Amino acid sequence: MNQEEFLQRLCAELASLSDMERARVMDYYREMICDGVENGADEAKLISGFGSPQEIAAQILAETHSAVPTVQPARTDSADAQQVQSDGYAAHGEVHSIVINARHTAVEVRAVHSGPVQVHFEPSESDRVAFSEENGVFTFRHTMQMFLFHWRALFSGPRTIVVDVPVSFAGSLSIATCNARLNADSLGHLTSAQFTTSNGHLTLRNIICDILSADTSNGAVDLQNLQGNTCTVETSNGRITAQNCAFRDTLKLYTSNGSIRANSAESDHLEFATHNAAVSATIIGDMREYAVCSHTSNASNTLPPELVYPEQTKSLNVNTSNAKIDVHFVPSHR
Amino acid sequence: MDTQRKKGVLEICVLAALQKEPSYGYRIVSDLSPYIDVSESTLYPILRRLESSGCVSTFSQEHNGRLRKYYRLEIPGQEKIQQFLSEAEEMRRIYQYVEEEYQ
Repeated sequence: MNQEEFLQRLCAELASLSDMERARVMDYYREMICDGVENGADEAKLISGFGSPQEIAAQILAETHSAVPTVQPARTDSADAQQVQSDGYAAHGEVHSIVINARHTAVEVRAVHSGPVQVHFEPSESDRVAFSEENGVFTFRHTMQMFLFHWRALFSGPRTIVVDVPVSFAGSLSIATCNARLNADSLGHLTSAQFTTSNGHLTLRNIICDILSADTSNGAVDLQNLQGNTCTVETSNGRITAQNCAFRDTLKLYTSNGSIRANSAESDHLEFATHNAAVSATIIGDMREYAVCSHTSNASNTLPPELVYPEQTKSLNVNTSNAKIDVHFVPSHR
Repeated sequence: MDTQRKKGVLEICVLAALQKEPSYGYRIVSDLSPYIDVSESTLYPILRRLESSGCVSTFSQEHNGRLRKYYRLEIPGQEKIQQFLSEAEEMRRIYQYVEEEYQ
């Protein structure tokens, strides 16, 4: 029997198991075959040594029915003892860089008060997950094997990759997915963060990050209470809403065919650009310090098209077309 | 070896294979083969049971572009090994008794 036939028949014999259990068995044998072949074993001989799929399934089903209740092992050898869930991929050491790469799956980054950096995700038959932790870099890679895509998966409801980041985490974060939404909330000391998706909403809240960049396409971006040094946000065909975003050096919001609305925005260099859509903003600061360039067509504009003096160290650039620009400066209370 | 006896001892052997450092399925089978007859299919339910009872924990690591599951010995597993070793004296006396009675 070859690998494919064996795995298919084994999978069929295990139909009565839960998806999770069946996936465990399949992963075990798939891995066993890969390791065996990698070590020079003959595939057919290796597989015949497993026994027949029926025998294997019979043994596993017998065990499952007399199984001991699941007990989570407590890790007492680390400074913050944390229980690792069976669907969790947790870091064991110090992490300074988190990299999450997913496909067609929503990602949610949330803060936890204690415990390690951890990803919660229950892979199904169609998911392939790779996870590694090396030299402080925590990487979680998810792809989908489309040829194993079951129609069942379409109706099993949206799944999310949840990333737990401890409030003390101070490092870099890179999250990428596609065709899905991306949310991140309450990240306190990031040095850099990159959020990428496509055809999905991007929501970033309560984040302090030196260098922040976020991009999506065909999706709205919702920013709230963000702070840092530089921030660049890009989307297309979607609106950008920014509430209370203060970035010392640069704040750039780019979209097309979508409105930009920024309330209480603060930065030395602001750039808002879109097409065919309105830009409205309240900027905290003194307009006299800003070299202002603004452009729109066929619509009203509260800003001067160009008001630049050599001694101005800050800048504001607003560009759109066929829509109004409604931007005002409000004095800061500091 | 008698199946029942093997069953009891195999679990301890798997735990022992994890004493020095975490290991993975294929390597556990090859480490144990010189000492006890164990197949990949026999190993799976044992690993599953040990994980469920908290004797081992698992983590995954990327290897050659694929995922490999590692098993790590936990405190309950360590205790089981200690328990087994403490029974060595008792086991020896039982063998001696059976041998003597057998003559």
